[in-house]
Formats: sequence, structure tokens, C-alpha cells
Amino acid sequence: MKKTERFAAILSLLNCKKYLSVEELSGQLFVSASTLRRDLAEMSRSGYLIRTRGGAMALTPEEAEETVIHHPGETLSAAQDAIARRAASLIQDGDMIYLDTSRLILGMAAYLREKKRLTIVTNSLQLALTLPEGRHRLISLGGELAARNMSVTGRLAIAGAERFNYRLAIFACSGLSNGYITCRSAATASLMERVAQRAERRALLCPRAKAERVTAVNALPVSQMDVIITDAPEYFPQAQDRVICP
Amino acid sequence: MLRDERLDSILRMLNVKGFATVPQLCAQFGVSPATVRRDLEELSERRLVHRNRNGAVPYQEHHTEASVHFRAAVNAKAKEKIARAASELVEDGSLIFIDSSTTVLSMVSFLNERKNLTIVSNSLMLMTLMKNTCHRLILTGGEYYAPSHAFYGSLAVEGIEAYNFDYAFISSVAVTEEGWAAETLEHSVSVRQAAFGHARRSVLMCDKSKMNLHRPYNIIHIDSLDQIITDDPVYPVNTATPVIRV
Repeated sequence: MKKTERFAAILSLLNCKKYLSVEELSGQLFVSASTLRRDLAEMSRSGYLIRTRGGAMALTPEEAEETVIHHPGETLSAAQDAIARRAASLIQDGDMIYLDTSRLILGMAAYLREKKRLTIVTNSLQLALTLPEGRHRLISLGGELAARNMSVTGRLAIAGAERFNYRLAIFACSGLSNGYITCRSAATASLMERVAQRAERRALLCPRAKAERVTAVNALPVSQMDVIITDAPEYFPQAQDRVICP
Repeated sequence: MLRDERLDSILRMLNVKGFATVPQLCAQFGVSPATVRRDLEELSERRLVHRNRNGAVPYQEHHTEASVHFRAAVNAKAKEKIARAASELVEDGSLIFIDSSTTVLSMVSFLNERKNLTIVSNSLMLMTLMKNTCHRLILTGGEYYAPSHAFYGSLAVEGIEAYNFDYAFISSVAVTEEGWAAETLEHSVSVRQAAFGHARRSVLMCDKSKMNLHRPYNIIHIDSLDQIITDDPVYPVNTATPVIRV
């Protein structure tokens, strides 16, 4: 069986049964364990699945969306790109800004090329990989690594976040609920709260896909945002004077 | 081939052959003389090569820190042997510090044989290499320095000072004749010093190309270390610190 056929077979097996051991895969595909381990390593690097100690795990649809992040050239949709570009226009030369972790904010990084002398604080390691070298000062917070989207959270992140005063903090959200920006974990929520406290101006980037979703944890109230850039303004009835539709 | 890959390949080729002409580089990489000259211009500006009338020679790491990809290719076999010996010191379940040097990063593949490690590092490269392993990864945070793919500065030092490591694994650019582990750039020092200061066991890993070099900024004297690992059969001499020679 050729490698590409094996990859397709592995993915379809994982689709049915979310976790498979190397033994099971070997039995199903009649391929040696060492070959499979090489395959799984490659597929894991390319973001198709998660390699575990004895086998592989399928990505959930949400994880699939986030893990694919390690291709920095990943393009945004037209609507997302418009939001990203509009967000970049909020940033002035010489600013000290905080950038949250999200694909959309990564997309915004391209538009920072024209800005000068920014100091960017972030919890997104992916941003360090994406930003052109040397143009701006990039400071990453410390903390526990979440491999899913190459970001850090935890007490080191919070301690680091509190060291700075941000002229502008740009937040992403993974959902909205009852006037709150929602995110996936309490650790992320805590970090967002600390950053928001230390920011002069707070901006939220909310594409329609996120506005329509609810994720587990309430992070920040929408009322705390000074600017909301969105293509779904109907989700922000209380904030019409602060909403920008690019 | 992307330009950055080609630049690294040119450096690697020069390191092996010592000298290359523009026509040779054109043939090797299938690009035009104008492209090669632009590449050499860039490398020369970064002080990585000396340009002669017709070609270029490598510029042994002078006042800059050469790109991490180039450094990885230098003495790779020696680094691997040293890394393997270092990894043997690591027990399952321990808390270790890994620095951003290519020697220490070579430990990554061997660390996959251990269980339940907590690994603290200032290296973005390490995070990328190990993100899909089952170990707990913690980034120190800090200001990003692209050529090393790593973070430095006071935030990085604070991140390190939050922990007490079982082992700190560090490499330096040089081990001077007087027995100092020393660095080319000042910012590289504080992170390494902090890690040594917060570890029960401090391990210096340096291949023989680093022995008896002179560099301006001292990290620590080898007599204050707990372990030295090197492939040099002779150096360092006259130290009470145990030396593992591979």
C-alpha cells in the first residue's frame, strides 16, 4: 500500500474509532509497527492527528481548525481578512500592545509590516514564528504550553502579563454568550482578565463563526470592550456605538 | 527551496568545503549568479561569510549569533553523543531546564524515551520540536531573539526563578582557557546563570570546538558546576568538576 493510501486509510479508521493503538492499526492495515510509527509521526507533524504514547487520536473538528495553525501561510476568509485589516488600523507606531492567540490575529500580523517600533506582548508562540524578524519587539509570556494552538497560560503567564501597561489589547474569542466573551479554559479566562485590567483600550475581534458559538468559560464581559470589530453586528445589540463592521 | 533554506545550505556547504565560487553555488542550487550574489550579500551583511573576488568563505561566528539551523549542522555527531550522555542523567518524573543551544536541543529525541518530565525552556525551537510529546512543557517567556529561536531578558529570568530544577542542561559558546563558560552576546548570559542558580545539578555540555576559545561574557566557572560533558579528550583540565568524556 502506498504511503498516501495508508494515510487515507488511517484517517478513515480514526474517523470511526477516535483512538487507535499502533497494534490495532497494524492489524487492520497489515503494515509493520515501525512503518506505522513513521506515518503517525509525519501525520502528526502535518496536523492531521494527535500522536499518543501507543497510537493516535483523531482531532475533533474544533481542534482540527486550531492545529492547522502551524502552516503560517494559512489564508483567512474574505470576511476574516477584513476584520484583521481593520484591527491593524487601530494600532499606532510606537504602541505597546497585547495580542491574544487566534488565527485571525495571526492573519493580522501581516498588516503590522507597515507599522514601526511596536512592542508586542502575547501568549501566542505562533506569533513569534509568523512575525517578520527584527521589525518589532516581541515579548512572549511564559507558562504551560498548549500544543493545540502553541499558546501559553498559567501563573507564569499571568505574572508576566501584569508587568506591562498596554495602550491597546486585542482579544479574540472562541464564543459569545449572554453578554460575555467565552473561551475554552479557566486559565485562558484568567489571563484575559489580567490583561484587560492593564489595558488602556480593549478591542475584540469577533468573526461570525465565533459569534454563533458558545464555549465553556465566561472570560470578559462585552461591555468592557472599547471597540468590537465584527461581521455579525446583530450579536452586539447593547454595543452598537462601539461596533465596527469592516 | 525557500531563500532562508538556501542561505542555511550555502553556509553548511561553506563550512564543509571551506570555499566556494559563485559558479559552484549556482550549479549546486540551480539559481542565477545574480541570486547567489544577493544571498552572499545578505550573509556577508550578517557577518556569516567573507566575500572574496569570486566566492565566499565562512566567517567563524564572530560578533553575531549564527542562525540556529546553521549551528545545528556544525559538529552534529559530537552534539548527539553528548546529548545522549546527558539524557541518561534524566529520571522519569523529573523537572529539568533545557537551554536554547543546539547541543542541548539534541537531547529532544532521547528525552522521548522518558516518562512524565516537566521541561522548562526559553527555546521556541524546543517547544516546536516537543509539542506533541507527552511531557509537560513550560516556556519561560521573555523577549524574542529570532536567530536563536529563543527568549531572553528579565521576564525569562523570572520565569526560571519560579522553579527548582533537578537538572539544568546548558551549553555555552566557549569554555575559556581560564575555565569560564562564556558567551558572545550579553543577553545570553542571564538566563543561563539563573538556570544554573536554580538547579540541584548543573550540567555543561560543550563539544571540543568550544574549548579554549575566548568570548567576552562569563556565565559561570566550570569549578562551580556539577557535571561537564564533552567529546574533547583532554580539555577542560585542572577542574574538580566531574567530566564525562564521550
